[in-house]
Amino acid sequence: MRNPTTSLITLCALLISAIPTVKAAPEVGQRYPILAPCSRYEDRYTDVADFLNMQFEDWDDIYHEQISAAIEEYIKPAEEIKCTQDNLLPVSAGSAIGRIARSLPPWAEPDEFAKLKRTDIGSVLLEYLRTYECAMTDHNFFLPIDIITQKFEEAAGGGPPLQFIRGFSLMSVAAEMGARRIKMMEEFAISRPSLERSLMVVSGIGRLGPIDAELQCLQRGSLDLRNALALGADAAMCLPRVWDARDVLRDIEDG
Amino acid sequence: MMHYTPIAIGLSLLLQAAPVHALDATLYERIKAFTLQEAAMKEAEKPIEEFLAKIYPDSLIELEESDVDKALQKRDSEICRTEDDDKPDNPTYCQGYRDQVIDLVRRNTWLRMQIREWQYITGGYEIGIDSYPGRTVAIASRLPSILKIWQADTAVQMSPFVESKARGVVFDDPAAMETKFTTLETALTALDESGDKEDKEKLIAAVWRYRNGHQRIVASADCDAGQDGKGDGTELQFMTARWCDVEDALLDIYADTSAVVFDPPLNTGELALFPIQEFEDLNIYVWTRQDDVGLGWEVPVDNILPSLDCSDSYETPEECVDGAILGGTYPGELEDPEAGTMLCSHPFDKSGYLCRDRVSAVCPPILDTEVTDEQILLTGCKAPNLLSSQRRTESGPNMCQEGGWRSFTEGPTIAGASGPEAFVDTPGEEVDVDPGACSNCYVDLVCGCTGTPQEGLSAPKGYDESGNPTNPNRIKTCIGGIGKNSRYLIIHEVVHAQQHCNLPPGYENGWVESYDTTEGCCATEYQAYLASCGAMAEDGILPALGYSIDVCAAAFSDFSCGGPGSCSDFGNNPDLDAQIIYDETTQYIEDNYAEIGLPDTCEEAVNNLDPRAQKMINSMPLVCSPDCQTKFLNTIGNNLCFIGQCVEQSLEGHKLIPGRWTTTVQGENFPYESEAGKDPNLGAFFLSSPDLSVPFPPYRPYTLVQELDNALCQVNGLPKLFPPIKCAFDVRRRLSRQTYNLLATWQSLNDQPLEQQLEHHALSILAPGVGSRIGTNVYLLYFSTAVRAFEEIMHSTDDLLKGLGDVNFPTEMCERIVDI
Repeated sequence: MRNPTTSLITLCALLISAIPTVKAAPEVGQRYPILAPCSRYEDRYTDVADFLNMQFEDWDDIYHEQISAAIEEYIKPAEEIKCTQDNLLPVSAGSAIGRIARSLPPWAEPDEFAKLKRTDIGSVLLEYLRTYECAMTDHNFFLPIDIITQKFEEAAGGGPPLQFIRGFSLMSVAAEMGARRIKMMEEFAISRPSLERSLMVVSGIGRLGPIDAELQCLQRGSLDLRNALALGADAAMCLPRVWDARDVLRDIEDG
Repeated sequence: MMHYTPIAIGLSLLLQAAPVHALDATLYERIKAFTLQEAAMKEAEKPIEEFLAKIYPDSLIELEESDVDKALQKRDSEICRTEDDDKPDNPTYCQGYRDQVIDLVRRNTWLRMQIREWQYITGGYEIGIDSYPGRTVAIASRLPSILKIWQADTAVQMSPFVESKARGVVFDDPAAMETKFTTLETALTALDESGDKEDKEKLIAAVWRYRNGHQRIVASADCDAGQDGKGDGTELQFMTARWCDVEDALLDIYADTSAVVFDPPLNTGELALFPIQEFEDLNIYVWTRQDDVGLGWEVPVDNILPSLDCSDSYETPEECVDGAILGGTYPGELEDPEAGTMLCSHPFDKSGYLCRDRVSAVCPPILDTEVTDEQILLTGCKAPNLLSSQRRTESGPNMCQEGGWRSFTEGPTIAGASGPEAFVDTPGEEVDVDPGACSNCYVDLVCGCTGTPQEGLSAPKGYDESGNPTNPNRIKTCIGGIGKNSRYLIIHEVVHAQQHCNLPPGYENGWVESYDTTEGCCATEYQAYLASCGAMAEDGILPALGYSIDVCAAAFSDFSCGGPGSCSDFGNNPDLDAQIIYDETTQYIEDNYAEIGLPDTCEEAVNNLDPRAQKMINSMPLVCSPDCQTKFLNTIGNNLCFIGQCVEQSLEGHKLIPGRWTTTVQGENFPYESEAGKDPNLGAFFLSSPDLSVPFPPYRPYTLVQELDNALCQVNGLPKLFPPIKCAFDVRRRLSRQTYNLLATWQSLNDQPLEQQLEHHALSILAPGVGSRIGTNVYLLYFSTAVRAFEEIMHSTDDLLKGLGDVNFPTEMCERIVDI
């Protein structure tokens, strides 16, 4: 039985990020899609984060590769710290986390995406996982239709839709359904625990990352100040020239 | 829950095992592979395969390693092989054998996964806390770096805090070190025995073995070639195993780093940290200090699991049967390491609660704070424990006068056979020394001339201890005492020498002013004792006794200025008594001087002068005298010391108004001073001091616990009750609405607590996470205001520098006489 500590500590990793966080409440009059039911008939989830536009065989590879890339990127120190901005650790659109976020409805809008911080990785990846599970659940509900539709589309090869397929067999549809269901069962069994365990491991980075970023900015500012004061010290070295000044500044040796 | 109809044969073959042994498998890929194995749907870990093949009873069927995965995938015909003689004739028995294998795999995998989860949990907390620079979150090394950039070196002696010191060092020969690190990486890679499946047991154990360095392990015994990479046949065998190739590589690196000569020399207790070397493919990094070299995990996800295979061990204990380590045997208790070693040798870890005694320093109550019963005050600010002021000067701030912030450039000279030679102080008297053009004095340390019970004595400049005149530039400093405290006496007296160096010679100047009143004496002595008590704290004396530096300085000042109570003000704290503090400290030095490494005679202390005292002597020459060199470490504080001393020297020594100091407290004696023209730059830039008050957030544990109790009740929709267990059960819920019979009523009453059990359980599991979040929030609250105070300092400095840049220097001198 999976340890409940795992999921709850992951939840805490999600919660522990610097204030302010990405808002989990909608603006007045606007639907906010986090934790909204996701099915192909739900507004903004029509293609369920693009999964329904992909081949089923590729779903697991794409999902796991994206998650792996995001976590690997997160483990490495941030490339850019914007010391002069409010958001020290923004997410760039070209990063692995950014690409995942932009494909999800909560952060598809540029305004919402701009509020994302690097430490929001938990929110983004868990929403991506939820979307992945939702895509599989949705696909499972419509499995026979989806498989048959896919076969007819493949047979049509981009041309006009066909009325029948020569050699079409319900047994092959059943076999395909069985295979897909086994795959989905495996994915359900491992996706959530794997992601939660990974987030548990990297949660320490999220807890201390903002402080580390602040300290880096403080370090850089201190170096600038030190260099400025070193110039001041260089200038102060010339003060003895002023000691013997009478009417104009002159060299002492000139008498 | 979705429904599915299991489909027949061949579908399981569609499932592909993801290779996890690839050296470049990412963190997520490895965790996913372990999770897949835990689900036991496709394949088992290699150690479990080998273990099961050894322990599976031969009376059933002979199980080979390759059969384990087939059993998981339910390929019965391949396992049972009815055509073989030793296989059961009836294939229906096969399912039972297969299910037993699956059960064994699941149980062992579950156990291993539980242990891995503990590592994930602790690794998640500790991933950001590390001692060495270059790590993902480098707070522990960044903070000292920021301190170093800001701190004036006078703070090393004069600040009432002791920080653990570390400095960053680079390798002398990076190319040669690269070769050595490559050798180490090769030795570690060879420990990875993965083939088709991952088997990193020895590699993981080796990293943990040398996590805290290799010196202690190597010093205990030579690496036995017969036991190289082998265990003792117990479950924890690899925790004490050794790997000779890895040790040789670490020793090779250590041979270079331990031979580095440091300039300036390392302070007492200071660590030198070399850059870390990352082996990214292995998830390992190598840390290097001047006293040890060791390994560490980039991301700590791997831990040593109980070993299952003893076929290769060098011993065969009772639990090792046919090459398999059977369970049910509790291993022996592991010994605790010595204090300050292993985990507690790392620079950041040594300050942690596992490595430090939880005895807080005995100090007076904190002023101006209201602490209620429900609050714990984590920290606060307070004034020194003195009855009067803590510092006095004759005129001007005398910035950075006490303490040492400069390196040696020019020093006093003594007449030699072929000209002036550098002056080297001896325990005897040296009268004919020339301080040089850059300094107003020289310090002559003399042993055994106090002539009184006094331990140390710094005569006024130009006079000896009896009041007889001597070289007008000489400050004779007599060191007496018990001999073993000579180091601290010297540091104390050198501070007095610093206080007198730039005064004119004689009793009347400065000496009487300082000692005329008790307040003056206390202010003078407190500064000197800050330095010597700070040195005692650095050397470990004060922490052992539990006194802070300012308490020590205040207590010792009493004995230089009239006895207990003359200077110190400890409130009514019964734990603080000046006499007791003085006696305990003196006795501790007497008893432990050899262990601390103190010189036991005055002569030895003078001949091998403590670097801290030497640095103070180096800082005595004037900074701004023409043709004089000044050398110091480039920090904000040191730069400010230089600018400040230069400006002070200029203001006090300029000749613009002949023969007069402009910044003395004496009144004008020349009639035209009041008619001098206005300085055009007066008030050109004006700064208000930044607001540096940093409110410390209070920590209210009792209130937090009450809030948790409140939450436990709110989960059940009830107001807060005490004890909160009352919220789990309310008899009125059932009795006010009776059921159709008494039995049902009884059952309902009985089952009532079960309804809230899940919520209670969830809340109690969540509590540590919430507690951690509250702790982080307290830290953030403090940090955000502290950083703002820092910001204000930097803004003010920035404005000051801009203002300096905007000053228009007049090309004509200010008018001396203005017609009014």
